Amino acid sequence: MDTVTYPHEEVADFIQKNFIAVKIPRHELLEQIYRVPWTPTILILDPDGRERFREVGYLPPEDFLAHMNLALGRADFDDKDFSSAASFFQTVVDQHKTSETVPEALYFLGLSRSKMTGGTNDDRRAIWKQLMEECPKSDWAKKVSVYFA
Amino acid sequence: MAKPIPWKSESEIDNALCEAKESRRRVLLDFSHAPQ
Repeated sequence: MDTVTYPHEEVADFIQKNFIAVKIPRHELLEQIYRVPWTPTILILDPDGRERFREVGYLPPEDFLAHMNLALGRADFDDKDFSSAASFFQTVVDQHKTSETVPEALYFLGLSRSKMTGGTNDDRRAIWKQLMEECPKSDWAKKVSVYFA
Repeated sequence: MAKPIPWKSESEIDNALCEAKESRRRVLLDFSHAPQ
């Protein structure tokens, strides 16, 4: 992570825009507190210290950006900040087209759009239709298939 | 050239949480030392 992913310009900019970053070298107590038996592990915490997401294993820059956009979108979605969530999911769909995170991003983009101010079920349906067409074999397409049966 | 990430140290987690609250961001904890 330190030699490839974090020095990447887009990754460094993304982290500084969205996070306060803390690097934890080998530290037995903190690994115990945060339940980290293997590294690399990345945790995303809310300002109250609550864990919102964890990623285990190395991620190259492109995948790191896709996974972090998806994670922040999921956190905002759960907080009912649907506009911000939609923005993160849209970034995954538009800028990380080959990422395996795209189906999940489309699923939650549809939900976020329909729950945003002025959003409708038609917004959700249109995006889920895109999910069915573009990622038909994904688990996320299976989740929405019932709405198109 | 990318601006280096201003990493905080493990002793600054509380400060990071406060700063995250003030700046409406979240905290990223990176446990990425060499694999055991």
